[in-house]
Amino acid sequence: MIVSYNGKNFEFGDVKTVKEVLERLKIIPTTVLILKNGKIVEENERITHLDNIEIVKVVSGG
Amino acid sequence: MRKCKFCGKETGIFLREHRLALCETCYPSWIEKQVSKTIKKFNMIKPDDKVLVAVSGGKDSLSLIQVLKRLGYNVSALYIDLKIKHAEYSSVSREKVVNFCNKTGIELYIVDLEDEGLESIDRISKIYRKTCSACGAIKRYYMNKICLEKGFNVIATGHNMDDEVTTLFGNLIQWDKDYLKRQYPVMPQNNLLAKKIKPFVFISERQSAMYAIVNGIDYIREECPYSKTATSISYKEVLSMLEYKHPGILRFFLNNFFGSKNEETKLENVTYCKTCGAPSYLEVCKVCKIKEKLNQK
Repeated sequence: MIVSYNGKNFEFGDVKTVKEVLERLKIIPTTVLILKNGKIVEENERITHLDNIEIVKVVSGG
Repeated sequence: MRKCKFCGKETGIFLREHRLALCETCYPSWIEKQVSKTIKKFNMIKPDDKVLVAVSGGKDSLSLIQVLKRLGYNVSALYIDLKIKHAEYSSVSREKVVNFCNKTGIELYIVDLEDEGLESIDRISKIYRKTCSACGAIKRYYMNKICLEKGFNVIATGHNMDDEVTTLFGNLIQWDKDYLKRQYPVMPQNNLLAKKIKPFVFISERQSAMYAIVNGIDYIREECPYSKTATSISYKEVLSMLEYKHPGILRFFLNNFFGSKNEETKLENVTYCKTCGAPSYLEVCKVCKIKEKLNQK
């Protein structure tokens, strides 16, 4: 499964939920939005290799 | 899957801090209602005010101007082109703002740093180690200038709740009493400075991004190249973890801080810059000092 985050693509073969992806990438859930096939989903959402997953960073600085 | 509190439709939008599920149709109206409450609570905008919204091309400022427009306020946009060449940051953000304003029919003013004799933030960064601070001073200077010159009553900025909590945290760490005294969602107008407001002060960064996405607002997702190493980013990481473990704690912290203030923010010691005549806390304002340094090199 390909997950895009911060302009990069990451490949995962054995994840079942968004939460597992976030844990692998060491992302704090409150700092991102998760889009599954273009729709906002919660971190416990189940995902398959057919889904298009995008993690959108929401934290900005300055 | 959870169901929207208002219409019962299945949704993936859940606001843990409010224990509230909302669908993509009901979510924008809910945000607009929250912002409207903040505007009323702090007397931010009167019905006949002309509001100048500072837009950067990012999620917060574009979402803010859309919310204010939908709430029926008279809004125009101000974009300051900082001429940041890295990853074409300024040209991309400028394009996003121009497209957004064309699409929504919002009047847009553009200030170009090159035309103002300030060259670019890239050049200024070579002179000033605290680039974000210099950039902030330049933005505030032109926001105030354009606001007064073009007959606006209020300047609105897209500072969100996480920005405000991070600033508060930073001011507490440094125990900066002056900034702590001044930090408030409204800076009242005086004869030198236009009224400044932060209507997104209780909208989290995540809520703001959600608003932009569900409304199809095309905003710049790249981070400003100069803010990547800012201290505020590491503060935000710590605070985000706290919010994750204790949903709602940041709102509670900020709300109680504002509630502890028993009088309106006062602007003290504002005078005129000896060089350009703009309002300043110093004899010569920071923008004139930057120009002077640029000319020396």
